[in-house]
Amino acid sequence: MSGETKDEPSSFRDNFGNVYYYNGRVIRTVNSIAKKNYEFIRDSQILSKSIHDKYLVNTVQLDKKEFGDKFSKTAYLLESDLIPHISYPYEWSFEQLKVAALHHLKFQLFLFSQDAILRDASAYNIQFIGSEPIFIDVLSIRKYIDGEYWLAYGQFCKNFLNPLLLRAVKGVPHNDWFRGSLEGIETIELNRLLSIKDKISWKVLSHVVLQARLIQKAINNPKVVSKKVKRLKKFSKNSYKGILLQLFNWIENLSLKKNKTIWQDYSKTNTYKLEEFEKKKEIVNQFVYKIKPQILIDLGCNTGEFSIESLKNGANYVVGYDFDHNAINEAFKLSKLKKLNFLPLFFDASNPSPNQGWMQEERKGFNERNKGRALIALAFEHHLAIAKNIPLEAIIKWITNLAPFGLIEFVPKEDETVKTMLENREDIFDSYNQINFEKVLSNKAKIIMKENISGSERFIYEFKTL
Amino acid sequence: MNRFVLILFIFIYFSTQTIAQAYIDPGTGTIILQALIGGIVSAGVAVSLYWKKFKSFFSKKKNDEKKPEN
Repeated sequence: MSGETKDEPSSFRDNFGNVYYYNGRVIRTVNSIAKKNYEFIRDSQILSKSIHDKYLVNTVQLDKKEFGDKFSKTAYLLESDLIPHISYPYEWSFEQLKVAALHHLKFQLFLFSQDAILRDASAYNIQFIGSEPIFIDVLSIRKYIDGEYWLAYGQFCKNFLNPLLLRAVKGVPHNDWFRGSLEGIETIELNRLLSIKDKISWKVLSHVVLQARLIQKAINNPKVVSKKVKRLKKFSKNSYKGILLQLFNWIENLSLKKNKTIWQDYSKTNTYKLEEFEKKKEIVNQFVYKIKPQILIDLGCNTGEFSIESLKNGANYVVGYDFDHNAINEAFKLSKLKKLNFLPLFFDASNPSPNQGWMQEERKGFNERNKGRALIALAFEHHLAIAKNIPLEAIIKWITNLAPFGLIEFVPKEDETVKTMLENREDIFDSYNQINFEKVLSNKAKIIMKENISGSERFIYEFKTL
Repeated sequence: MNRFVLILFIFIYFSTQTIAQAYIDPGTGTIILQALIGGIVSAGVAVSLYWKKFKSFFSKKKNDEKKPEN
């Protein structure tokens, strides 16, 4: 057997099994402690039904001998389909987190009908293929024990319910908070933010206010509460299911508290002329047709116009990034509606997702997950150069280090958007001009093509790194 | 707003609380919550299911000619 196996650092906490990568394949071990449980979900057809109904990522059992002695100590060896792009809940839009939450609950309800449950409720166990959610952790499924409580309920609230409520009730996006608090948003902390008016609702009252009080009580008097728990009666199956159903109905009806953002209507209200837009489309189409990227990155994807165009013309899968919460929310809804291989995510290019978690390895950063992919960055660089004071040279270095092929649009100072951006601030950008842009780009990469796309001297450059 | 929720709100909202710094075992609190609300929630879900069926029975009667039942 040739090739090296590489550990997936996010799976080390699970004593049921671990994930490894081998030649682009995803290999999962089933440790002896999880042997019986795995046999139960396999032999009762729960595994095959979950895969068939698209709750769970396609997973097959392998012959251990294929790997020689490498996995001799593990009970079983499984292989799951590779997810095209791993994303994290702090990169998801409201709608995407909601879809993930509903997927988790639907899967739980399905498993419940099969006498099984999910033993945790981590949002990281859900990934997206395009806009379709899929559960990736096979070993989270286990047999239901009669009378048990939903032990992962608190985790579900932190990972799904609380971040969604933060946006739906308070209008605050969950992303920055979740990124800083990888286990999700604590119920106690959310409770402190809610006003009395927010709390006068049976569901908020029970799942946030009362839960926060009881968690606090358990913190204050752990022994007393622990004794109380031991004296509790069995939890009926109806009550367990009732809570799942209630959360499902509640979350399904949660909607975005509307805060109009700057770029959400950009594609509708921007200063584009139709001709310019068509020209841009043509350039993008030719580029993706020529490169045929397996995965294309669309930096500043907005609601996804060019991502969708790229999919029509040769890109197999597009990961779009934008810092406008409402724009990526709309983009996700569009991708879902049209069932596209388009995954729009939130990011701030001046501070993209870092490597973080235990040993700074559990959750991978933006660069690590996107390096080596073709990209398009249309009407993008000026947001970094003008709004964030990042020198052109640094922007181009970052983009050309990331992508071997790409399109970058240069937006000059004469353009209406840049004029507006500079209106109320000092113009400190002496070297922000097309000549310098071109000079820097040609130092870092080979310019394959450049084309003027508008009267305001916006140029699109196609590059290939040297 | 129904009176029951309001009374419950006042009870929960003004029940004593102190903020502790230690963070030992928050899981037990969420189990007690389930024990407290489980029964009410499952009854509520059952009632809303019947209510939906009841409503759809009448709306179905109205729409019978327009929409075939799946």
